[in-house]
Amino acid sequence: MLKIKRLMLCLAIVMSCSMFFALIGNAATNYSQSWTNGQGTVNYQNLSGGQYKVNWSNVGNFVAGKGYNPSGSRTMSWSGYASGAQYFGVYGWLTGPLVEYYIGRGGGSSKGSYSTSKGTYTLYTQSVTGPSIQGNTTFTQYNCSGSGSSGINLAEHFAGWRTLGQPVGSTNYCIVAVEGWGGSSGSADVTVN
Amino acid sequence: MKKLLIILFLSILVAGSACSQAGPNNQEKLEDQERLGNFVLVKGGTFKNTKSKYYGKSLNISDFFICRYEVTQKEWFDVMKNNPSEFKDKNWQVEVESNPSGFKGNNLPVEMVSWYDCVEYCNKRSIKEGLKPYYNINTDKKDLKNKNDNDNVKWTVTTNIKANGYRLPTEAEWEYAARGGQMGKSYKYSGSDDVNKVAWYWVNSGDRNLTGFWSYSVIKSNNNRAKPVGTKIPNELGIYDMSGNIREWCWDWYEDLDSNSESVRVIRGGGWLGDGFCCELSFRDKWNANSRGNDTGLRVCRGEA
Repeated sequence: MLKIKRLMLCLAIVMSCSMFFALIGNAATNYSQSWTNGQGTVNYQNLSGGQYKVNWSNVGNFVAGKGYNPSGSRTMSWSGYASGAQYFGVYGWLTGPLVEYYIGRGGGSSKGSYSTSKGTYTLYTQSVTGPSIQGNTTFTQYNCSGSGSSGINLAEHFAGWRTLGQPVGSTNYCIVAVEGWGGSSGSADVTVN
Repeated sequence: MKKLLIILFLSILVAGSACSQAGPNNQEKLEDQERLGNFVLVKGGTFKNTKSKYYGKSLNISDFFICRYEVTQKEWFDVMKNNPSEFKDKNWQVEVESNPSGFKGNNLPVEMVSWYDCVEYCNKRSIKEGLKPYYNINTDKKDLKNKNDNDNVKWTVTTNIKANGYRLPTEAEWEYAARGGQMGKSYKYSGSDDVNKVAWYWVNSGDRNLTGFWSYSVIKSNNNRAKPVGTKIPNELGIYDMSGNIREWCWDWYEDLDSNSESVRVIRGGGWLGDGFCCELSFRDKWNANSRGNDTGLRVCRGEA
């Protein structure tokens, strides 16, 4: 009888742990809709968990992705591919001060380099005036070019930006994004963890 | 009998004189009441909401009038004889050509106006309505305290605090009114804890309600834009759109003008383009005073008549 009780207790513990990790694993479930500006077509599929697929042809501009809001300082990891995309990488926003960031491309004035567990990145910044999560305004864009591997620790990048003297406020959303423009065509199948 | 007639005659003279002296004042009062029809008297006091940055400070707001609505394109045109807005009222040009002195419009708020445009509007509207201009605007004298390299205007603007003309609200006045003054119920947004009830913002200001992440490409394809003023529910004081629709310029600098200052002016309330957190009453925004955006306009106020 005692053995059965211990067995049931162990079983209950194992089931609880599975549910806990399943919840964590399925947390990346936000997305941008498929969109086209009237030029070309975009077909977006929002699949279960952190997966999405998108096919596009002759587009003007589109962006799609999945991630978290707020992002916190989590590790963003993903698998899959984006063939024909103009941008495939991490994209997000910070507030106080307002910052739009791309981790996976350059652009702007170099502020120096910093190290992460996935390699060395160079931070570029530029001032942008235009639409933002706070409306039309003037904000700073951070562009980070580096190894661009399929997993980055946001905490390491935030720390790197700070060491280069660039402010890091509060986190807003962060997604693994696919973006296409200028008449491009392509396809992507991405799973964000 | 003679004495009685003299007394009667003199009484009529005095009464007639009193009426003629009272006439213009009554007329002025009537005109002022009509002018103040869209305005709400905000009874002054201290901030009641503990979440306000002004709570607990020794700041006592005086009574003032604030317009229930954001300034519309029609109101702007009636004073400035132009309409800089990107999302113009339908048939605006046709109406103006047929009636150059004004147009009806559909009560869309004016946008694409800088902070400098707004203080000019306030003064011109005051003069038009026989009120004393609130601002001294020196367009020839650069404000040396303004260190903003992006601001190529830098007019020196000071105030006549005893003038009864139109003006931008101070940031404290704006937040006090938005929170419902002494009638406030500690809402997160102006008039409700549900942003969708009181505010036009990126989720609900287009053809269909949007979900997911804020994305400008999605917003643009969804035809999001400013909406006619007063089409959401008002706050506790009967003021509309203090959360959402058009972001509203306030009088103040965002921070003290020390050597590290950006020299930018305060914007409050959030708008049709931005995220919902911008519509929260505690959110402070800012921009270069010479900047113009299709989601940025104003609401006017004035002191007691």
